[in-house]
Amino acid sequence: MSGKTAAYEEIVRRYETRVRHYCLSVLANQSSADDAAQEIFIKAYQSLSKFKGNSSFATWIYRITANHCTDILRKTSRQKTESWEKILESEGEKIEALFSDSSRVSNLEHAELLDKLLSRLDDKSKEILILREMHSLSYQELAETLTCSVDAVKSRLKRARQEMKAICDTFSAFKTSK
Amino acid sequence: MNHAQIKDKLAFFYDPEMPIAERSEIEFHLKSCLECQASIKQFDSARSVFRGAKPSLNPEWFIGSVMRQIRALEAENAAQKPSILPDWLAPLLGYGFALFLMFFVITHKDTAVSAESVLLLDVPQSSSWAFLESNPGINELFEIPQEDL
Repeated sequence: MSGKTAAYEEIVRRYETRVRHYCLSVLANQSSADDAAQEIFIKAYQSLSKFKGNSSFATWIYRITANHCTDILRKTSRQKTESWEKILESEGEKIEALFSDSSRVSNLEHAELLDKLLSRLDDKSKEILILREMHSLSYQELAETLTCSVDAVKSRLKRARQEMKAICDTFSAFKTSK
Repeated sequence: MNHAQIKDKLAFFYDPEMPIAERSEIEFHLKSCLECQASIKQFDSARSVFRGAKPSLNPEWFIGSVMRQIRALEAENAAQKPSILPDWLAPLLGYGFALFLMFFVITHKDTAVSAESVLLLDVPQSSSWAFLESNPGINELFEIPQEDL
């Protein structure tokens, strides 16, 4: 194994969880997410010479990841989203647990429910919420990853959080009406 | 900050990037504002959804799969016969040839066959003038008076 390949294996080891996790959150399908994550690491390997160190490697790989997932979403026909009422009827209790104490929900259920909730948001909101709330990227890192200004990040984040809060409000209203 | 301004910033309340002074002001406002209290509670609930959302993924299988593909790529690249010429040579030759053509066109602006030569060639042989004794002289032909010569 060449030195470059061995070093890259270490990079894959270091970032695979974050990349796969992001892909899974955006694409909402384990097998598509794993395929996408593999393509991302191969793409990153082939473009290593383009990484100039102006931003951190994490930001660089997040940028490739976000762009790749956006391309996939653009190419694939949109999955029909389940109606909100249907989700609440079937998963109401679990969603309640998720909003109050997420530790009460198993990992797998958590991921599935989160997919359903995130499917209510537009792609840009989904993207920024995943990067911020799950991957804890700072405003500056978000700006570098999404290639926009910090002000644009704040505005997108605010809108996304308000959309998520609206989902939470809808759920509260539904719970009260029952 | 008034109520509207604080309400506008509630979405960022939990962000560590929020300045301490701003946070303190919001906290103070929250003590007395029921509407903002409800709002911040909803923002917190919405955030809680993301906590602990870490699906268990098998890293070894994934790393192995990626590295296998990369090694295959490397092997494919190594199998390709390496070129003796450096990568920059072909574009350099191309640009050089283009420059040569430009230079050639600029320095050889005249057409290969000049207009004069076409005119000369176009004169019919039968009309060529010969200064013979039987023919009038050039002065007579153009009626130039003797004193002007």
